[in-house]
Amino acid sequence: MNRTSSIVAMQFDDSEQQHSAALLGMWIFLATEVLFFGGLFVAYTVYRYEYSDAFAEGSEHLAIWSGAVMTGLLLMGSLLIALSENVFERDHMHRVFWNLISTAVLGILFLSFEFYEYHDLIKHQLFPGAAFHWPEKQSTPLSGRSVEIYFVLFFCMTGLHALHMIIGISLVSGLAFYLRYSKNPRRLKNPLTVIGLYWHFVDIIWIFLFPLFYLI
Amino acid sequence: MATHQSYLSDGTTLRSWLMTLDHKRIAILYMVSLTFFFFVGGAAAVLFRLELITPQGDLVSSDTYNRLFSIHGIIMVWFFLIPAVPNVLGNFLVPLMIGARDLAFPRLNLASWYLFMAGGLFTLYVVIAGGVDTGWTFYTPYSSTYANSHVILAATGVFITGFSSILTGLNFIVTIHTMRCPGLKWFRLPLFIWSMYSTSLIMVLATPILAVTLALVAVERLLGVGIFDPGIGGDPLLFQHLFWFYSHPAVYIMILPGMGVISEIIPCFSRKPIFGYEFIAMASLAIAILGFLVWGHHMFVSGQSLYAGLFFSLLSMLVAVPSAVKVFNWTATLYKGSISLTTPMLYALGFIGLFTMGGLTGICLATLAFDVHVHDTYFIIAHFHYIMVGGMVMAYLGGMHFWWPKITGRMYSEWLGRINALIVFAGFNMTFFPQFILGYLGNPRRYHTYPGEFQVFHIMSTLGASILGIGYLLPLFYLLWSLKYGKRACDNPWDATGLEWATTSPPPAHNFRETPVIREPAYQYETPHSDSKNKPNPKTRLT
Repeated sequence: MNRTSSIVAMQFDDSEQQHSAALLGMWIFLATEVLFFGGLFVAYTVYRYEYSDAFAEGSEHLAIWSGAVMTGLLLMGSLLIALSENVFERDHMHRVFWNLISTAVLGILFLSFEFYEYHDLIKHQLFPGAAFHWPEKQSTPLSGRSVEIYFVLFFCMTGLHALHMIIGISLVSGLAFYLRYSKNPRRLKNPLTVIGLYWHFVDIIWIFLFPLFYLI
Repeated sequence: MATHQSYLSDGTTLRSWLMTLDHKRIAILYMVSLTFFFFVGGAAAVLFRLELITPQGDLVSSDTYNRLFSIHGIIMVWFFLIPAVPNVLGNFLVPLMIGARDLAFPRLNLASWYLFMAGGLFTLYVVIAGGVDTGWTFYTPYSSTYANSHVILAATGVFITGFSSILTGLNFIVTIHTMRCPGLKWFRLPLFIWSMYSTSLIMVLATPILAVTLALVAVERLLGVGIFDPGIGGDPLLFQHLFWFYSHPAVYIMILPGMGVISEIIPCFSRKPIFGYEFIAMASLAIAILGFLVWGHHMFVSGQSLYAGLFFSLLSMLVAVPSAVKVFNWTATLYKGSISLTTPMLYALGFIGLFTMGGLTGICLATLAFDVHVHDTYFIIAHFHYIMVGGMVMAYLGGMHFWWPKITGRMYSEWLGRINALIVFAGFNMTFFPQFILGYLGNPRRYHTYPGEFQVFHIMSTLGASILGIGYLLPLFYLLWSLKYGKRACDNPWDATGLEWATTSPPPAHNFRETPVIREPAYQYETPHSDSKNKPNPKTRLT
């Protein structure tokens, strides 16, 4: 039993037990997140089936190139986090710091693209609600209401994802500075692993959102 | 006497309670808040039961009546039944039963109590501000197009409380996986732990769906868009699917922990090892898994396809199998046991009977044709109250009486306890049995008036509810009384096995003075016919 070491919390026997608890805790949290987004994915499926033409029409108004760049940004961020775990093991704390900072910057870039997209849609009166306006075309007898549902889902799902991104960016940059100014950075192994998991998860959600909204 | 401090005397300031990280103190925080919510929800029930004495609407208007049953449902489901056993008894017992010093994430545990209270305050505000009239299910379009009450506030309260339940479940799963003491293999765990584990799985996997559903209702109301409103392109059935995908599994959050309590009480007061340990453990998991596949039986008359109805009907009947496995195993444990009718045992026996009634009427309801006949009548009310009140509340009271000496270090009056168990049993049956008949005769639920010929059943029901009310108030008094005047409890007043009885009553702040080591399966009670005259002593299980 190794309770003299200050990095193990009172309720654990040793740091290994603490590490596996932290890891399992994060995995279970991610399972709840999957279900949380799952409800929205079900709603998407139902309405995509019901209003497939409207969804195709709505996605015309999104910029595919911007979505593609955003996907690239996130993937690079994930790579950097994965690498930072590797360099952490080799005790190169300086590189861990810069990897994490770059990840956060990539995340901020991602959000800038996303918010620009939002801005564009709002400008074209495509934000659902009272201000929503859809020019009824004679050639395609689509009801504006069904296109509106596409945008409701777009804003809900990407908005929820953006919220997760904001939390992720705060966690990653907080961890980076904590690591930099901590006297004993080795004890931040668990936070690094679980925050890394969280970041990868948020990344994967986007991997599903991108084709569902942009590539149809 | 023990020279070390118990967890109760480890700091006496308000701060030492509100900022505590000790799982046992957090359990007490939950106990106090849940008792409060229980009586708020109960008060609403008193009012609408009084209204139903006469066929006319003379005490409250239909709007008030809708608000009363909505408040009763919302508070009882989310602020009492779901957290009752997991957050009070589970918080207290999970680390003790597995020989750990605390849950894996004590801060998260405290945070979940604060979330629970934040959600509770929102909901209480709704009560004061004039209520919500959608029923506990928040069905659209009652909660969207035709909402004329504080739906968003109430939904926010439930949304926040949902996260409290997710965090508790997460904490339990991690604790049970990683922190069992040496020698405590999975099949040596007490069955209470198995049921907590299954419950936690449901909490973690179902609750997020509720959160996202309520969030979508809020979006629909705030933006005025048609997510669930068919008038503007939405799909009301989607709401029901999402809602019941959470709420049907949630029904098992409300019963599985109760089954865990019963599995502890029955062997202790039959002085026999539990019959079919593995079957009871696996039945808990089976109920948790099957529970995710039966949500459609709430929607037999909502317009889902007949084939989906047939499928959900079949799956719903399958849930009865693991439930029956448990009931048969408990009865088999009683068989040839040396039964003592103590207070916890009376509640446990009551549970078996009432739960069986509730379960069997559940099979009736899973039958398509019969469900169409009694859908949305008092038959449904009677059915789920037999499970929720006759099952879960009985189990909660039984568990409280069983572990009260461990939690507080005091004994209550056994005589009053037994009388009260009988009062609750009698009052309960008188309240809800007439409702089966009412429902079968066609009295629909959720109306404040009814045809005159039903009056006699409604009067019986209200009379029973008053008896039940006494049965709930009495323990409040004699348990509080025991805190000051009760006899001091010894470490193991029931001669029970289980690690929680191996430490002092009340336990010290870190639970055990040294980490226990387990060498044998759970429930090693000496059978009455065995040669050995030794009393079971949990300490023999330790090194």
